[in-house]
Amino acid sequence: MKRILAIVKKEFRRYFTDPRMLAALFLPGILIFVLYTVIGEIVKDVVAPSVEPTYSYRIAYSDNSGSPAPAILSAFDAYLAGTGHEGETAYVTYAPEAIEEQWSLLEKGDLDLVIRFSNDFELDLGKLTPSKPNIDFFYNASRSESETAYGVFTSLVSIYDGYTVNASGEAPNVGGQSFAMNSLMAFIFPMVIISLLYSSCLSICPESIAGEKERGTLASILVTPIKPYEFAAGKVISLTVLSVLSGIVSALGTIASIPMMLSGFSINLGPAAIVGLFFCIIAILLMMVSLASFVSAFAKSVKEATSYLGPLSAVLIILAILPMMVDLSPIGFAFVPFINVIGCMSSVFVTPVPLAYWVISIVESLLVSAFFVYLTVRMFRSERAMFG
Amino acid sequence: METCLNASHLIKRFPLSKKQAKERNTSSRFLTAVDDVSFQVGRGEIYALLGPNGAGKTTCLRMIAGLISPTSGTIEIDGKTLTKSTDSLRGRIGFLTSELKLDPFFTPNYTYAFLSTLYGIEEEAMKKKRDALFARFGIDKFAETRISELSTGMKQKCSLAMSIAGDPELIVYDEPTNGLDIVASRAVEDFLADEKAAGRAIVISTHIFSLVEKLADRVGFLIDGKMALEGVKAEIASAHGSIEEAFFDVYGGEK
Repeated sequence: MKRILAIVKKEFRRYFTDPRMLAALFLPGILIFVLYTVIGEIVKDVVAPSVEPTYSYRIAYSDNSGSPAPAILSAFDAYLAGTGHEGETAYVTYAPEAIEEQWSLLEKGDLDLVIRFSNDFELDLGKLTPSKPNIDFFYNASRSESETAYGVFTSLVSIYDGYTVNASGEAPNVGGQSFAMNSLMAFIFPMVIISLLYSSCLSICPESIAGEKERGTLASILVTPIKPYEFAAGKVISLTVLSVLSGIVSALGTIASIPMMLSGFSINLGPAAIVGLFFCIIAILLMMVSLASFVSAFAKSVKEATSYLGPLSAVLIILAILPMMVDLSPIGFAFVPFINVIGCMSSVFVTPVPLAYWVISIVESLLVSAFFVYLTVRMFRSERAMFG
Repeated sequence: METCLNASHLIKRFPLSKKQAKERNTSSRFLTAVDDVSFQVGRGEIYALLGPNGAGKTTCLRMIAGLISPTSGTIEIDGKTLTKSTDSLRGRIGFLTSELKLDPFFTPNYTYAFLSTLYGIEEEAMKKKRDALFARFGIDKFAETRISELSTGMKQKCSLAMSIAGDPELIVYDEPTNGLDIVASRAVEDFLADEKAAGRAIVISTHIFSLVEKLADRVGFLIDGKMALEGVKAEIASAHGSIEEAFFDVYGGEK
């Protein structure tokens, strides 16, 4: 046990005191933040204009704007006409005091959008008043039509700076989780998480194992009385912890980018789904680390290890985008390594994943990881692999 | 003299791929790197394996260090048979080769402590020995300097110190002065002489005749994996005029 700990400590010392290694460890998290923020900006533009051609929108607006037909409504009509929309939009007015009633209609699906103007909104436009006039939009994110109406209106008003939008501080979404956003996350999440975690594995494992071999420092350890399994265990434990840390930074990057990504949209995941996602990330990370450790122990140099592991990343990315093409919810997929965890990570955003699917996927991932660790130990015992 | 190492009828064959066999122009699927080699080393004795490149010296030393297993034959250290599974017996061997490097990122202090842990040495004993060894080699002034920043000579001194961190009974050095300048080479020679005087059994491989003349008690000429001549250095030298003459007499005869 002392020897395993010594290997673990050595790896930590190597990574935590070298700025280059630290950068390799934590860069994926920073990249996630940047990537998700950029995706958020793109998504806002992509999601908003998807107008159903024959749908008739139902919009309620407050009657305190100072004009019977506020200009923003005609801008919406003009936008729809420009897209070849054939449905007729129905506008109704309400007194500002009756806002809660409108929210209720919105929640039930009887309305697609509720607009609340500040008093004399139209009259105050362009005037030098102490505070700008405000316009609040309310929608139901669980309905794609409502989400679309909200997206179109917010994009229409975003070019004007003569008034504020949603400045009242009330949440614009009065419904459930975002259908469009969750569907999008079901596709994007596995791909982004897998590609970033694998890239952190790629920056850690070959350097730690094949790198030691290449530099000749591995032999100086293997001439001591350390057993191959102690060495392999020390390496896999430390690399997993380092990759988990890298994963945590990636998760923090994701959390930090969510407000930017979801401006106007929302993703609601229950605590069970979040716990399940956490275990999925750990499971897939263990499989990646143990696989990368085995390949690195087999390779003679970092370059050789990277040349084997590089194409594997393409395979993993293809697996990660499978949810876009194949429905992975049938229980049979829970028995296919890697695909099962990807299935969990994708499905959790759109539908409840059965407990059996979670358990089979995670247990099987642990078994696959143990198998790769066993192969790694075999490699450390192999004269050919260790000494050429 | 009490025998520490007894290598008996060592044979090591490496499998050859089809491509490798074709390159070597042979139909055999095996390469015999060491072929029936036997020798003994006593305590307080230096045994030198001499031979050209590719003669099998490194393979022989790797087998003795327990890094690879012989295809057949036995290696005994103090009467105990060394196999690959006897990891604990490796703790009694100090192995050094030019291919074996210290991690350049760490300091000598840390590296010594790390290797001592792997040898199972307690912290107090480790510190005591480390201080004495570092003072002896002049490493103490650089104990907290990264190994990458040390001179080649100082790196070799560190390697020497690390190789005996486990307090070995048998020291196995592959080309210990290879690539070193005259000052660093002298440090290695002095170290080997000191360790011999301390009663350790030492096996070195080299192709530097002066080193053999100066330090070795017994020599073995390894040519094409076979022990062409083996015995007491003084006897071989007197029979052929010198060790160098003896080697080339044997080498010429073999070829």
